[in-house]
Amino acid sequence: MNRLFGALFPHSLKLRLMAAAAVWAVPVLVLAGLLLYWSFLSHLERQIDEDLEAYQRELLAAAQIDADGMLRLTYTPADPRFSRTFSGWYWQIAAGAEILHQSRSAGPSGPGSLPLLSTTPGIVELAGPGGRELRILASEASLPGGTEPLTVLVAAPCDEIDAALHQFGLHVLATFAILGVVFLMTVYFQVGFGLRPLADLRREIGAIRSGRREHLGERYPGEIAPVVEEVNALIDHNRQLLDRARHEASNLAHAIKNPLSVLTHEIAALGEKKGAPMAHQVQTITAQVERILKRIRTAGPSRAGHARSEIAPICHDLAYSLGIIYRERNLAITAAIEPDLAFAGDAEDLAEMLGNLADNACKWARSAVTMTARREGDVVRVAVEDDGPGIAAAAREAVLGRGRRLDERVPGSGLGLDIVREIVTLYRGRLALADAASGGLRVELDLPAA
Amino acid sequence: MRLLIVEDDPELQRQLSAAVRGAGYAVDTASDGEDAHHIGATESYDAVILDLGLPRIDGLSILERWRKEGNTTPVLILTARDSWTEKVRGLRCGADDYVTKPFQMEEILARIEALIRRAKGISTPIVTVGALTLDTAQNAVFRDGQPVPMTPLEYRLTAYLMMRRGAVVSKTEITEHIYDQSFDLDSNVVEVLINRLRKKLGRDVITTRRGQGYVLTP
Repeated sequence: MNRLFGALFPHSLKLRLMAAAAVWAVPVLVLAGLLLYWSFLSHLERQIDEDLEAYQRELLAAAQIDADGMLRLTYTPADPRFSRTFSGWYWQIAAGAEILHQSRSAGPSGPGSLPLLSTTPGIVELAGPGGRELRILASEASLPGGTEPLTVLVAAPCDEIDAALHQFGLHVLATFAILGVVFLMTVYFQVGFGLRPLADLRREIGAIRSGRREHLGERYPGEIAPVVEEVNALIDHNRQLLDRARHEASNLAHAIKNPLSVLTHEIAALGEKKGAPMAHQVQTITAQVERILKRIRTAGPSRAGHARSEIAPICHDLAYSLGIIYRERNLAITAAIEPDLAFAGDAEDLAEMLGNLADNACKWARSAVTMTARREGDVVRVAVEDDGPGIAAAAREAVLGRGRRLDERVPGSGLGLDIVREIVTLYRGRLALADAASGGLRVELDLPAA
Repeated sequence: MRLLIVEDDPELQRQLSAAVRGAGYAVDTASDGEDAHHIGATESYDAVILDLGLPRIDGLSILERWRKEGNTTPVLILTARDSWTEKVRGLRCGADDYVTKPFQMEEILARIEALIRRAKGISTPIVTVGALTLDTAQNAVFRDGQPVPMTPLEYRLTAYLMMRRGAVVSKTEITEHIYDQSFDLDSNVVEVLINRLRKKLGRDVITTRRGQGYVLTP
C-alpha cells in the first residue's frame, strides 16, 4: 500500500493523505447507498404486499353466497384506482377459470374480457394487460355455503414501485455525492491543518535559502522536531567548518608569510645578481601559497549556507578603504548602488571579488573609479569602471586566462582577477570585460541575487 | 622622526628596524600587544608599523584603543591577513595604510614617509623653507641647491623642524621625536645638536625662544 501510494503521489503528502481517505470513504459511501437502496426497495414491496393483502381481506369480507348459491359482493374496495380502466390496479374473483367479479379497471366481465391474471397462489410478478409488469397476490378461499373454492386475486402495477424507487435512488445518489464532497473537503482542510508545520518548515527553509533567516524556529511538533534540530545543527556545523577553515588559513598565512618576508629581505640584501634566482623562487612560493589560502578562505555557494550579503555596504567600505590605500593618487572612488540589492552568497566572497576588481581599477585609473550595481532579473550586475588605458578587445580573453598578466609592471593584476574568476565560477556567475564610457576598462560581474 | 614597530616575529622585527633606522628614523619596538598598547599610549611617535596577529592583545584591538583614547598617530598595518574583509576592517578601525606580507622594504619606507608627511600637513615629498629644501623621498637636505652632508640624527632634527616650520618646537618634543627610548633625556644634547645644525644651515635659520624652544624660519 505504502509503495503504491509512494509511486502514485511521490510529490505530495497532502495528495497521499487525501487518496488514503478516499480509498476507504468512497466504497463505504457507495455500499451505504446500495444498502439504503435495497432496504427501500424491500420496504416498498412489503408496503405494496400489505396493500394487496388488505384489499384481498376486504374482498373476502364483502363476498357472500346467496341463498341461490350465487356469489355476491356487498361492497367493492373504494380505491378509485380500481375504477380507472387499465390503471394497473385490478382485483378478480374467480371460480376455477371463470371470473365471477372483477374491478372496473379490468373492464366488464364476460367473453373477450381480461382473463384471470394468475392462478399461482402467493405473490408473483407477471406481465399483465399492455405488457405492463404486475405484482399479483392470488389466494384460494372457500366461503361458507360455497361449493367450490374461489380464487381471490389483487394486482398492483410494478412500475409504480419502480418510479418511487427511481426517485429514491436519485435522492440517495445526490445525498451521498454531497456527503462525499463535503467529506473530502473536510479531509482536505484537516490535512492542510495537520500539515501546517510542514508548510511553515518549507517557508522557513526558503527564508534561510534567501538569507533572511539563520536558523529554523523552535516551535515544531515532536514528530518533526528531530529533523528541525538536525537541520539547525547542520547549518551551524557548516558555518563552524567555514569559520575554522578561515581561522586556520589565517594562522597558516601568519606562519608562512613572516618567514617569506624575512627571506625576501635577506635575498634583497644579497644584491640583484646573486639574489635574482632566489627572489624568483620566493615569489613563486608566495603566489602559490596565496592562491591556496584564498581558495581555503572562499566559502562558495555550498558552504555559505545560502547567505544574503548586502552589496551597498561592501562597496562603500571598499571605496573608503581604497581611498585610503591610494590616497597619494587622489582618485575619485565612488559607489552608486541601488538600495536593498543583495548577493545570494557569502559576504567575504563578495568583498574578495569586488575588492580585487576595484583594486585593479585603482591601479590603472587616471582619476576615477566607479562601482555600480543593479538588479537584472535573478542576477545582480556589479560593474567596476576605471578611466585608465583600458584593454583592447582582442587582448581581453588573454587577461581572463588563468594567471596571465597583460602587463607585469603593475603587480598583482594576474592573481587578483584569477581569484575573482574562481569565485564567480563557484557561484555560477559571469565575469566579462567591456569598454567604459571614459575609454577605460569596465569589468562586469553577474552574481545570483538574493 | 620616531617610529614604533610592533611585530612579534623577531627576525622580521630586526630587519624592519634596521631598514627604518637606515632611512634616518629613530625606532622603538614592541613584540606583544600589551607592551605595544602601553608604549604607543605613553610615548609620542610620528608613525607606527603595526602587525595584527600579536600575542596577548590583537593588533586591531590596540588600534581601536589608541583611537578611542584620542591618539591620532599615523598607523600602517603590516600583516599576513590579506583578505579584503580584513583590509576593510583594519582601515575602518582607523589605520592610515595597509600593507600585506610578504612586502618590499622600499614600499614600506615610501608609505611611512608619505604617512608622516601627510600627518604634518605636507602634500609633496619636497619641503622648501627659504634657501633650504628637504627631500623626504631621498632623506636629503639641500641649501641653495647644494646637498648638505648630515648624520642621521641631524637629518631627523632638520626634517622635523622643517615639517613644523614656523612653529615653536620644545626641547622635550625634539627629544621625543628624534631619539628612541634608549636615549637618556639630557637637554644639553639637543642644544649641541642645534648648534651643529646652525653651522651647516646658517645662523639665522633656527632661532631660540628662551624657555619655550626653537623655531625654524626662512
